[in-house]
Order: sequence, then structure tokens, then C-alpha cells
Amino acid sequence: MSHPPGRPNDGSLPPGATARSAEAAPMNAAAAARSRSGLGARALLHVVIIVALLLVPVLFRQQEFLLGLFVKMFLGVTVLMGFLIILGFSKQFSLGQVAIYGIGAYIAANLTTNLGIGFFPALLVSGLVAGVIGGLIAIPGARFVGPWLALVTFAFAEIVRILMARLKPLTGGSVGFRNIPRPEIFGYRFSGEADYYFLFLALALFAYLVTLRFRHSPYGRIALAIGDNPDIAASLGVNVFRQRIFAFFVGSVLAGIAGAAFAGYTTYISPESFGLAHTIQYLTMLVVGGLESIPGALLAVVFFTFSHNQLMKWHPWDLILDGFIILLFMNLLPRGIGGLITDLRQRWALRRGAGTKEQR
Amino acid sequence: MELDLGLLANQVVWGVMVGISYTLLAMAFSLIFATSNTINFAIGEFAMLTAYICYTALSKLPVGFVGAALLSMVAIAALAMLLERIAFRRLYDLDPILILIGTIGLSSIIKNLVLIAWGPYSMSFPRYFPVEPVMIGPLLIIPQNVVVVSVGLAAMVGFHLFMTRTRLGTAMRATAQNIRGATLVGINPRFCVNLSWGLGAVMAGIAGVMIAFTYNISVDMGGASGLKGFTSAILGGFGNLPASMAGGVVLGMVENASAEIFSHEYKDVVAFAVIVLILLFKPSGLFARADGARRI
Amino acid sequence: MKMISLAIAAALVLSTSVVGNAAAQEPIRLGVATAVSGDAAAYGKPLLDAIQYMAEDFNKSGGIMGRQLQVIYYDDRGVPDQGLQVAKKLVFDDKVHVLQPGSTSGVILTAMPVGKDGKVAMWGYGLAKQWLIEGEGAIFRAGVPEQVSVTSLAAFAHSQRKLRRVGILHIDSFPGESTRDLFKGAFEGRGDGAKIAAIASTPEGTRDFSSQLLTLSRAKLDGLVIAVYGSGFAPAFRQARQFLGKDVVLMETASQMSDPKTRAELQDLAGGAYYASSPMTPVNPDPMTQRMVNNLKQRLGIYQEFMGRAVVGMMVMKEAIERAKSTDSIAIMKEVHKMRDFPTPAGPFTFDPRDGEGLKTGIVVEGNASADPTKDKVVFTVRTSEPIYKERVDYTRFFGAGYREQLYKLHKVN
Repeated sequence: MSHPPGRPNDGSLPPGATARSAEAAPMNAAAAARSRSGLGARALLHVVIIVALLLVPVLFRQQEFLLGLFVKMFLGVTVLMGFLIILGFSKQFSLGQVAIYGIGAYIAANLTTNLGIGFFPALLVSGLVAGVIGGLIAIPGARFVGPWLALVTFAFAEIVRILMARLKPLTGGSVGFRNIPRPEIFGYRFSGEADYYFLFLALALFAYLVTLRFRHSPYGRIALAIGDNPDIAASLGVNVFRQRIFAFFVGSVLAGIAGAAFAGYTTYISPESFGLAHTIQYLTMLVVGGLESIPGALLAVVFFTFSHNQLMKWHPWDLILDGFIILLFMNLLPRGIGGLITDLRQRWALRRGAGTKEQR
Repeated sequence: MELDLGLLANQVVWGVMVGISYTLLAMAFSLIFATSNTINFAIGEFAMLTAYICYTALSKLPVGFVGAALLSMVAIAALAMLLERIAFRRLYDLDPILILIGTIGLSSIIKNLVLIAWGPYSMSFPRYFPVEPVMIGPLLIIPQNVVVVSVGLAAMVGFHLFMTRTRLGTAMRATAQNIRGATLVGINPRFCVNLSWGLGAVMAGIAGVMIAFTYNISVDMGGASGLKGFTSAILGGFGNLPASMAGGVVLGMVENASAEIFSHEYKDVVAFAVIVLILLFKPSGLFARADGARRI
Repeated sequence: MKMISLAIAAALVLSTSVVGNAAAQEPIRLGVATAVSGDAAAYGKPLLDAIQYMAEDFNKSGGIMGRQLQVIYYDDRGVPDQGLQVAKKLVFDDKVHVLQPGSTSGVILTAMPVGKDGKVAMWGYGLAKQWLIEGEGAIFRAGVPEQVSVTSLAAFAHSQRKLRRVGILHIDSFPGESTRDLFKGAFEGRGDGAKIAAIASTPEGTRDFSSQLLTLSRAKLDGLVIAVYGSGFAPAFRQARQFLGKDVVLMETASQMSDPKTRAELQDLAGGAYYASSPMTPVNPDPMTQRMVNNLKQRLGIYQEFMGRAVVGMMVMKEAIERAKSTDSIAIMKEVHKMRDFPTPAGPFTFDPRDGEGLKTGIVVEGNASADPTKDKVVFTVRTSEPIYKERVDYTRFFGAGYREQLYKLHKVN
């Protein structure tokens, strides 16, 4: 695989794209076959995991710190699902998701602290506004590909971060926004990690279901096709422009909701939380999980949340390890854990003689 | 809003000076992109690492500044070429997003290794030239910076000559324009790509040393300067060396002029906003052809 | 190939979960959130080194109350959000007895509530007032507040150097803005036409001050206060000399100029500049200070002023724990509140229950034209026992109603 890269002059088609689209057809058929036969087993797996997650705060009620780790994990899932839809499925190089996340956080903070609006309505507003912003970015973004979108969104993220530090009345300036009220539901005000655990679990489930639904809907398949090869998709009659905007919208809603929840959880937000480090962290998880895989992404979040907690002692070696993991996975496992799972599933299906001939 | 023209002129002059270092970084980005279709986010970190190596060579080895600088250039070029060979060569057929992420990961590794090896303190080179300002008319000139800029310009000219007048440079240009054609005439594209990483690293290294003289040497300098370099390249024309050169100077001037005209506080915001505008209306860059053809 | 990668991935997962750190029950645990990376690491790392040195020292002579002192620290990168996470880990996971919630005021402000929630005693060495007041008595400051140091610099600039048109260059984050407001108030408040003629702010982490300084160079200043903290200070100072020339008096408020590493960057440019400092500066001839400076220089190879704050904090903490004969945070803080004339290298630590400060001596130092800060000269000293802010610390939440009156009576103040 070390022949020199073939590049068309405008850099818009990913190399090797034509080969991969040819694989798409039998792969989708395989996916259909898999879903029919594995449905029962997967549903059971989901139920087991959800029940286990619901039991954790009951069993470990006293361990605030452990519950806090789970909260972090659920937040990560919510954010990563957004990344997955935009960068993973539809391959839009947006490096600006952190800004949308941050905008969601600041909107919620303003609404709850300054206007006394309840947490849950604020969450919805943040999500919607974030989605709209994402959609707006996608409009010119749909014209650009590759490096240009990366730079534009990166610039956007930097602009937003600088504005967060400057617009004192709205954002509290560089000191940040303090004393954000904790969420309140039916008169009960959140306190302790267990309350947040359930909230974030619900959000993570929501994000997961949205992403799952998206993935297996026509929108999702079209997004993947666009990500693979926009020209071929366009020639097949897909409105690439509109679909890209929609994917951006959905992913951004998730980012905005996550940001709002983050604000309610930490009760303090400042511009530093919304910088490049956040982006790098999630890009790493995306690579490890696989750009197109939901289960891969979930596993990546779990792994990184817990390993980072343990490795905190050896900072900054934990960041160095992240970098190495990225390079390692890209060289050895470019499709990530998700790709690995897909491969294993196909081999399993082949052995069971599912009757569909897949090509590798 | 009244404009102090003298001040504006000064800002512009300073901007041009700063722009030269952006230019070198922009050239590095464009070179690597032109030959291998890779956006290398670690260029800024290459610049930073070179400055650190130069500093250490200067303080630990019995060499003068020139010797230390040459040593650090060789070191960074070797490192970059090694990295391309072992970690990035296999990735060219993958999704461009992945390679981008890979270089982001690389930049994080370099930055944190430097942090561990040299510590969080910032450092600076000895002062070889006077830093007291000299007034030429309304313009405030700092002698040290004049020297630094001259070296940068010389480097730019040198690279241009290399690209156009030597066989190796011509081979690289051919690779950038048309890989299959290049292979047909007997050029080894793999080697050219590898060399482009090495050359790009040297360009970045020179920029790094320039920045170290103007400001200082610190762990964070990679990120900010890398971004400026990347921005300049896109502004001028990505993958097009002469265009990127111009892009750097333009960015420097625009940045500082807008700091004066609008506000210092929002200097960075304005710079980014300008970028976004340019990209909206002339995405292939100000000085490049509309089809985004590669040219080095 | 794929199997190998899977094996590697599995190995990584296993190794990171196996590697844990169980904190033993016996030792006294001090949790430290400090910046080991990022812009603030220029403070955070030396502070951490000094804390660890003191801890080793304590442990060698029998520990505190016969128990060993264990220092647990994590990197907060100087970023409030990270500091919050680190503080949570220290308080709820590592279960520390005493918490040091950050190496800069911004982080302390954010991370301190975690300590209040977790009911641990705290101390900090940032110089701003907000976190001390909001600490409600649960945190003490191991250093001289910037109220004292900034106002003494302003007093010096006005009355001794006779400056009347001073500019301020500050970073736009909390410590920078705090210094700007303090200096402006103190300087202009002295009257006689004193004015802050120009103010320029710069984003945190920047190293390019050219546009701000070019503008300031047109404002006909006779002095400039550089309130840039962290690794941006030295470039700011150097560029200030470049753009403003020799006639503008450069000043700074956080004794960064006494830091040998910073001086190495400034080289000879420091001559004729002034900085405000705490008594923990190497030019202070006080024997206790000198002994501390020399010890740290021997052990750590270098002495930096903020290390002195760590030393003071450790000494006060140890004393308070031993007087309280307990690791209960309320008991520890009560002992801190009762302290009078406890000898430290920064002078006697006497708690003032009105403003919560223990050290209120500021000095102004003149830099010399070399990279050796020990050759600098003390030119001005200010010592006060009056409360330095109008706000009063409210102790009710942790110490009960009536506690404040008790303290006032004990210290004979009102």
C-alpha cells in the first residue's frame, strides 16, 4: 500500500474513493442481512447494558467520584455522536464542533442564570440554536471540501473562543460564567453526582438513538454515500447540498445539548474549556472508534474516559499516548475498532453461511 | 474614527516583517500538500522544535549560532523524513480526514515531549543585534528585526531557486503537478514526497528561529504560528508556493492594519474573519489559479 | 495484522485499568492542583517543587503529628475547568486532608468550592482577593495580597519616581484585569494630576505585543505597568523596551523579574525597572528569608519568589495541624485564624479576621542591569495592619454565628 498517492487536481475526491463506492453495494446488502438475523441478539444486548447502567448509581451510591466518571463518559458519548454524524458519516471536516458545544453551554448559562429559565427548556433552546448555527455553517461549508472547510471551521472556533473571552456582559469574559444554577425538575434541585448520572445517561441514550436512527435511515445512507464520493452521489440524484446541511444540523443539535448539560453540571464555564484540546480529544476517539461505526465510538469513549482518569498522574504522557494511539490506529487499524467489529461480524456471518457473499 | 497614519504605517511595516515568518510556514504547508495531498498540522511544532534544538546546541556544544542553526535544521529535516517514512507513508490512500487527524496527533506528541524534555519555562536566544528602536521618519525600526527579516527573505529566495534551478527541485515540481507523468519520466515520487517533508521541515525550522528571535522560545509557539502559516497558505493559494509566499505577507499586513483600524482586542478575530471572507469569495486563494492547481 | 492490533488495544485497556493508585490510610494527604503545562507552568512547576521539598523536609524530621505527609498532585494546566476536575479528583477520589486548589487565582476561584463542599482545609498562593473572601474562612493565603503589592508600587511610582502619565499593558484574563483596576485606583487616587494615560489589553498566551505597544508608544507615557503573567511576561517586557525606548519606566507587580529564568530572558534589560514583591524575595536581608532562599537554591538549583509562598503555606499548614492535633478541616482552620506572630520567611504571620490576610508587607525592588536578581535593590517598603478591602470575611457557614466576634476580640480589632 505504499504506492504514491494519486491526486486529482482539485483535491476533492478522497483517493481510492471509486474503489470504495464499488464495495458499497454488496456491503449494504450484507448489512441488511445482518440486521434481520441479529436483531434479537442485539436488542437483548442493549437491554442488558441499559439495565446495568441503571443499576450502577444504586450499587455505588456513595462513590461520588466513580459516578462522576460515568457522567463524563455519557457526556463524551453525546458529543462524539455529533462528531460521528458530521465528520464520520458525511465526512465534513468540521474542526469547529467545540465552538458549537461552547455556544450551547453559554446560551444555557445565560438563560438559566440571567433569565431564570429552567434547565430543561434551556437545554432545548440551546440544542435548537446550536443546530441552526451548524446548519448555517454548512451552507458555505458545503461548497468547500477538505482543507478549506477544516480551516474555515477552525477559524470559526477560534473566533467564537475569542468572543467568549471578550463579550463580558454575555459571557462573563475570560473569568468565565460562574454560579450557574443546577438543574431543577419538578421542584427537586439536583445535588450529588447520582442525579446528574441519570440526566447524562438519558442524554447519551438520546444521542445514541438519534444517531442509530439516522444511520439506518435514508438520510444516514445518503450521508455515507456523500462522504464516500460526493460526485457519484450527486450524479445519482442526491441533493448533496441539502443533505450535508441536514447532517450538520443533527450533529450540532447534539453538540448544543451536550454543551448546555455541561454548563448545568459544572456550574462554571470559561473559554478555556472550549479550545483545541477538546477537539483533539474527540478526534482521537473518532479515529480509535472508527469513522463510521457507532459501537466503535461507544467503546472508544469508555476506554478513553477511564484510561485518562488513571493516566492523569502521568500528565503530559497521557496526551503523548493519545497521539501515539492515533498514529498506531491509523497505520494498523484505519477503520478503527468499528472496522474491526465489522470485519469480525462478516467472518462470523460467512462461517454461519448467511448466504450473502461479501467481498473484503 | 481618526487614523494615526504614522501608526498605521508602523503597523503595516511590522506586519510585513512578521509576515515573512508566516510565509515560510505557509510554504512548508503548501509544499507538503502539493506533493502528497496531506495537510500537515505539525508544521508549527516542527518550527518550535527546531528553535529548541538550536537553543540547546548553542548552549551545550562549542558551536556558534550559525553552526547551531545548521545543526538544528539538519536534525529537524531528518526527523521529518523519518516520520514520513514510518508513520505516514501508508496513509495516503486513506481518507484525508484521517491523515489530518494523524498530523494533529503528531503535533500533540511533539509538543508534549518538548514540554517534558525542556520544561515549561520559556527561553530566548542571546542578543546578537541591538534592539533599541531607530526612528526613520515616522517609522520605528528595530535593527534586530531587520537582520531577521533579511535572513527570512534570503531563505525564501533560496528555496525558490532550489525549486526552479536544480534537478531535484524540478523533480519535485513534476511530482506535484502530475504524479503519473513524473513516474513515467523516471522520477521516484516516493523519494520526492519524503524530501518535501524534509524541506518543509527546514522551512518551518527557519521560521521557528525567526519567531524565537522576535518573541521567544516556548512550548506554545507551535500552535499559534502553525495556524498563522496555514491561514497564510490558504489565503495565498494552498499547494502553490509562490502564492503562499504572498499570502504570508498579506496576512501579516492585514492583521496589524486591522488591529490599528478596528481594535487591538479583536485583532485575531478580524484576521480570522478576513480569512473566512476570502474563502467565501475566492476559495482557491488570492494569488492562485481558480482550479487550485499545484505549483511549487 | 488485525489480531496484533486487537492485542495491543486489549493490552492498553488492561494495563491502564490495572495501574491504579490506592492512597494509604496513614499519611496526611495534601492535594495540589498546579499548572505543570501550559502558560502558567512557569509558576506551577516551581511551586510544586518547593512544596515537595518542604514535604520531604517535614518527613525527614518526623512528619506532622508523627505522620508522614504525602503530596498528591495533578496538572490543571492553569485552566479553571481543568482545575475543577482535578480538585474533584483530589477531594473525592484521593480523599486529601488539605487542598491547594490551583496555582493561579482564576483556577483557585473555580476549584475552591469543591474544597468547601468536601470540607477540606485549603490554602492558596494566588494574589487576588475574590477567592479569599469567598472562601468564608475555609482557605488561607500563603502570600502577600496584590492589594498590598500593587498599591505599594503605585505609591512608589507616584511619590518617589514622580511619574504622572502611566500606561498599563495587561492580559485580558482575571489576574490581569484585577491588577489593572487596582493600580489605576491606587495611582490616580494619589492625585496631583496622576493619570493612567493609556491602557492596552492582550489576549492571554500571546507573545506578540507589537500592536498594543505601538499604540502605547504614541501616548507620551513616563511609565508602563506590565501586568502580563506567565510566559508572556518576558517577551512583553523586551518588546516594551523595543518600542518605548529607555525613557519610559517599566514596572511590574508580581515579582516575575526576580525569577532567574525570566531574568535570563530579559538579560540586561531589567536595569532601571521596578517590581513589587513580597518579602520572600532574594534581596530581602532578613535572616529567615535568606536561609530559605539558600536552602531552596541548594536543593532545587534555583530560587523563585513564588516558591517562597509555597514555603510559607507549608509552614503555616504544618503549624496549624499540629496545634489542632487533628486533620479535621474546621479544627485546622480555627488554628490558622488564631495565629499571631508566627515566624515565617515572609515576616510574622498574623491573621487578620477582617480581611482574612496573614501577611501584609509589600516591598518595591529596583532591577539591576544584569541577569542576577540578587543584585537588585529594595527601594521601598510598606507594612500595614489595617484591613485592606472593604469586604469582610463571613465565617458563619463553617464556623457558626458569633465566631467572627470571637476572632475580633482575640485579635483586638473591630
